[in-house]
Amino acid sequence: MAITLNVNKTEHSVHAPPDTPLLWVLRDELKLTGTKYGCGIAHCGACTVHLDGGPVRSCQVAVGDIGTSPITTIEAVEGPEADAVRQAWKELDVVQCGFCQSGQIMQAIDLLTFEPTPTDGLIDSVMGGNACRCATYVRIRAGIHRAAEILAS
Amino acid sequence: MRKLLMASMIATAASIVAAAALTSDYPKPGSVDRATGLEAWARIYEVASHPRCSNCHVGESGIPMWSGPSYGETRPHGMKIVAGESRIGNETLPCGTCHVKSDRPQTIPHAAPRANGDWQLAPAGAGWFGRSSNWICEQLRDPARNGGMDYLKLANHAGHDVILLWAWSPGPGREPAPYSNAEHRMDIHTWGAAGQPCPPE
Amino acid sequence: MSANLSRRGFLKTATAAALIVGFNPGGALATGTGPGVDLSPFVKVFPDGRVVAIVKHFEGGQGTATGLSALVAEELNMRLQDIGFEMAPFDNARYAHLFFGLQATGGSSSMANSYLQYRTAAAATREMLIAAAAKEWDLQADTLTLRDGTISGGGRSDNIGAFVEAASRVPVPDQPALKDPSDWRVLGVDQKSRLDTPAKLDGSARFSMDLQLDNQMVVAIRRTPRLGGRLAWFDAAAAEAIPGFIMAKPLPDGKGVMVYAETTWAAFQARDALSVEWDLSSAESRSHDALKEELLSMVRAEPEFQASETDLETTSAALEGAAQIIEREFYFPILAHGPMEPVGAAIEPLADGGVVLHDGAQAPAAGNMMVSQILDLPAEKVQINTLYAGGFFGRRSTPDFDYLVETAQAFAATDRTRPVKLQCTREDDITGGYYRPAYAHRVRVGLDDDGNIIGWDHRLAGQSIFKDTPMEQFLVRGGVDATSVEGVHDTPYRIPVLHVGLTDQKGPTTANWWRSVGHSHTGYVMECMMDECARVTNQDPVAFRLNHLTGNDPDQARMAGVIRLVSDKARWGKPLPDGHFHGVAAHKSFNTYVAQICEISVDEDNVITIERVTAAVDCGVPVTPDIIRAQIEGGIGYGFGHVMRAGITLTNGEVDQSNFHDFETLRIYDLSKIDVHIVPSAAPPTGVGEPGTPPAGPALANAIAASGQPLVTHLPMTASGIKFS
Ligand code: FES
Ligand code: FES
Repeated sequence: MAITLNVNKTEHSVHAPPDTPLLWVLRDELKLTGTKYGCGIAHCGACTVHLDGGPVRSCQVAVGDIGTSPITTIEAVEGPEADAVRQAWKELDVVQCGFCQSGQIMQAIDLLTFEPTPTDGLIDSVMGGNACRCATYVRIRAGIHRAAEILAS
Repeated sequence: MRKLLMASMIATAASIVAAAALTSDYPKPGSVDRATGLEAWARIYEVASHPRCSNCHVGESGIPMWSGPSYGETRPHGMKIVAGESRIGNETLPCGTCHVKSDRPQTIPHAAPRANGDWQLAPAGAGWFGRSSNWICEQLRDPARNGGMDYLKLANHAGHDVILLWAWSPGPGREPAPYSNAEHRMDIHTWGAAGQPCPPE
Repeated sequence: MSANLSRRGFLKTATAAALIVGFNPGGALATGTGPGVDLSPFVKVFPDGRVVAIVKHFEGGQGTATGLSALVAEELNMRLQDIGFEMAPFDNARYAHLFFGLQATGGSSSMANSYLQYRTAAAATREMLIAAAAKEWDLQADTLTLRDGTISGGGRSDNIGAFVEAASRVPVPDQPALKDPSDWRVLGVDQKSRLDTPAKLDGSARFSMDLQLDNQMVVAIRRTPRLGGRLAWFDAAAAEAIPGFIMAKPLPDGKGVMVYAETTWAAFQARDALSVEWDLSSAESRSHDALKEELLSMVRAEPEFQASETDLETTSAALEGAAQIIEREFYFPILAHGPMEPVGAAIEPLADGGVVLHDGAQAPAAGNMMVSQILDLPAEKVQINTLYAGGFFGRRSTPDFDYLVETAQAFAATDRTRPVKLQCTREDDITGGYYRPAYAHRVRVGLDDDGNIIGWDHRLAGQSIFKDTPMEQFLVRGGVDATSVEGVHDTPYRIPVLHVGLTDQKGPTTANWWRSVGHSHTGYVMECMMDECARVTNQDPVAFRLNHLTGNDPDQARMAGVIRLVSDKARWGKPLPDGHFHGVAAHKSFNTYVAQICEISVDEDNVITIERVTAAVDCGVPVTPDIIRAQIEGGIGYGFGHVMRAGITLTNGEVDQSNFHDFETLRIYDLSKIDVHIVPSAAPPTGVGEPGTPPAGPALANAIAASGQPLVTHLPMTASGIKFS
C-alpha cells in the first residue's frame, strides 16, 4: 500500500507498512540519509526532522500517522535560522564526527525560531535530548549564541 | 502557545476502551459500606502510586520520573526534562518531540511512551509521586483541588483520558498498572458510592 | 590500482593530466601519470589549479582529514580552505601507518606518523611546479615563488595549473626542502576551517550507515543474550511475514542469526520476530558483583606478574620505613564505546569477481585481510572505500575485527550477486561484549616525614586486551600486557621505589581498546592518589605534584609545564566563589601531556555541577591548534560522561543495559565551559585524540574530594552516591 508523504516540498509515494518509522523511510526509500539513526528509542536526537514545522524524533513517528503534514530534513531545511546556524557552525567548527549534527542543527533551528536570543539555560533544556558522543557541547552552545547574533544583525 | 507537533490522522475513538460495565452495574451512592469503600480505595492507591501513573503525577517540579529494572531506583527523567507550567514542555522541549501522538502501540522496547493525545504531565496539583495514600485520597476527593470533579466525573475521566489508558498498555519492557482499567473504574465507583472514604495518615 | 579505483569512482579526479606526487613501493618520492606508473599519490594538482590531499587515516571526527591536508597546504603555500581531500584507497604497502607497518589508524598517532611524510610529498610537488615554471620562463627557480596557487617572479605570474603537465616530467627532488616553521601560514595557525564541516551541515557527508547501493540487502544479526552463547536452533516462520524479509542464515561460528531484508527496518523487525534457542552451556553466567569481588580480591593478593623493574619485596621494605602509608582501592566498571554511529559496513560485488568493502575504515589492512580470507579472494581483489565514521573511540577496530568479519560472512552466505550491508543496532553496541574491561587497583603509598613519596606499591587486576590475539607478540612481555599498566609503571613522577603488579582476570567480554585504553583507568588512580597524598599531608596538590617533577628529563619538565600552565590559567589557589571547588589532575598518554583543573559547585544537598574545566596540553608542535582544542574538549567530555554515570553490569552473564536510557551519555547541560591552552613547542607532534580523556575523571574526583565529600574510588560516581545536577 502506498503512502504519500510531503518531504522537502515534494510529494513522494512510498511503499512501507504504515507503522514503519519515518526515519527508515527517509533513509532507505527516499535516500535522504542525512537524518541519522543513533538509538531508535528517542534518546539521542540524531534522527530529528521538522514535521509540521516543529522538531520530532523521526524514529518515533509512524509514516501512517503523518498524512499531509509537511516534513523537512537536514538536506533541505532553509530560512534565516537555518542559514545562521550553518554559518555559526562553520565559524566555530562545531563539528567533529558529524553524525549527531543533523539532529543538533534541526533542533537548534527550531530553538532559534521560537526564541531568537536563548539563554544558556534554555539552550541546555532544549538541546538536552540531542546526544553528541564526541562531546561538542561547548561549541554547540557557543554556536547557538553565535547564530542568535547573526540573526540579530 | 507553540504549535502542536503532530496532527493525528487517526480517530481517537479506537483507543478508548469500550466501557466494561454498563452504568447500571455501578453501585448507587450510599449503597457501599465504608470498609468496602476503603478496600476499593486501597486498590485505587495501588494504581495511583504505580510508576505508570505516579511518574507523571509529579506535582510542581514538573520533572517526570523514570523507573524500570535497569535503573535501580526510580529517577528523574533523563535529558533533564521539565514539562513546565504548560505540563507539555512548551517552555523548552515539548513532550511531543519524542512522545508522538499516535494510537499505534509502541512496539520498540524502551522507546518513548505514546498515546493518541498530546503527551503531558498530570496537573501540578495532582502531585502523587512519593505521597501517602491519605494525601492522594484527600486530593482526589476535593473538587477544589481535583479540577472540580465528583467521583462520577473521576471515573468517567479514568475511562477516557488516552494517556491514563496508556498505563494499562505501556508497550514492551514496561510493567502495566495493576488491575484493569475497567476494574479501576469500578473501584472508583465503589469508593465514591461509599462516600469517598480516606485512610488515616 | 588507481585506474581500477577510478572506474569505481573513488578517485574520480585521477585523470592523466594531473600532477601526482607520492611514494613508490620502495618508499621513495615519485611522480607520474598514466598506466604503468606504480605510485600511491599523496598530493594531486590539477590543470585547473585544484590541489587535493590524499588522506591515509580515516576521518571519524578526530580531524585527520583537515590535519593531513594542512601539511600539504603549508608546503604548497596555500590557504587551508582552498585545498581538497580524498580518502586513500587500500594500499597496505604505501599508505601504511609508519609506526604500525599496516594501513590503520589508532593510538592517537595519525599526525605523528604523517607529519614529515605529507610535508615531504607536498614540498616535492612545490619544487617540481616551480622548476617547470622556471624552465618555461627561462628564469632561476630560486627567483620564483609559489603562493595561493600562483607562481610568480621575473615580472611574470601564472596559476600552478599551467605547469602541471611540465612539472610531471621534472625529476622528483631527492630531498625537497621543507618550509621553515617561521614561514608557516597554515600549520600552527589558530584558525577554524575543518574541511569536513560543510558536508556535515547539509546531510551530504556519507557514513557507512548511509550506503544505499543499488539492489542492496540489509543484514541485522540476532545475537546471543548471554556472552559466549551459541545458536542451538532457530525458526524464521514469523519473520517471513515481515514485508521485505529475504532470508535468515546462521552465522558460521554460531554466534547468531543473520537476517537479510530489503530495508533496515524490515531487517530489524524480522530479526526480532525470529524464534531462537541458544545453547548457553558454555556461556558466561557470572554476575557483576561476583566479577567485581574477584577483581578486588585479586588486588588484595600477591600479583601474578611483575610489571616494574622493582619487585614487591624491595617496595614493601621501603614502605616499612615510611612515616605514613596511604592505601586505597579502586574499581572501574566495564564500558561500551557508544560511537554515535553504530558500526556496520557493506560489501559490493564487482563484475571482475572482486569486491569493494565500504567502511568507515579504522583499519583498511584488517578489512582487506578478513574479507579476502572469508571470501577466498586474492588481496588485490578486495578494494576498500573509506567513508566517514560517526565516531569510533576504538570501536571500529577490535581484536577479532568483529563487524568486518560479520559483513564478509553475511556476503559469503549469499550467491554474491547483490551488495550486502550489515547494520548493527545501538543495542548491539551496548550489549555486544566489545568493551573497556573492568579493572581494580590497590595502591599503597609510603610518605616520609616531609610528605615526600618514598615508595609506591601498585597492584592492578583486569582483563588483558592483547593476550590471545595476533598482537600478543608485540604488546605482551613477561605476562604483562603493556596496555594494562600503561600510565603507572611509566609515570613521569619521581617515585624512588615503585612496584607494579598485575593479575589477569579471565573476563566475561571481548576486551577492547577504548579511548585512551589503559590510561582510562590508570590516569584516574595515579591522579587521585597524588591528590590523596597531598590532602592527607596537608600539602597543596599542585605543589605536591611539582615537588615530584623536579628532575631535568623532558618527561618531568613537560609534565610540570602543563601543570604550571593550567594552574596559572585557572588561577589555582586564588579564592573561589562560595561553594566552588577546584580539582587538578595531569597525565601523560600517547606522548602527550595534559593537565586539567575542574571547577565544581556544590549545593546544600551535595548536588554537584561542573562549572568549568581549564586544560593545558603539550603535544609537541601544535600543527592544527583548533583541532587540538576540539579534541581535548571532546576527550574531557568523553572522560566525564563515563566516570559520572556509565557502567555495564551483568546478571547471570546477560548485560543489564541496552541503549542510551540506561547506558547514559554525557549531555549538553553536563558540560559548561572548557578553556584549552596549548604549550608552545617545537618538539615533534604527538596525538590529541585520546590524551584529553584520562585527566578529566580524576580532576572531577579531586574537586569533589576538595569539597569535603569522600574521594570516589568506585565508578561510576553515581553508583557511589554522588549526585549531579
Ligand atoms: S534515533 Fe531517534 S532519537 Fe535516537
Ligand atoms: S559530532 Fe560526533 S557525535 Fe556529535
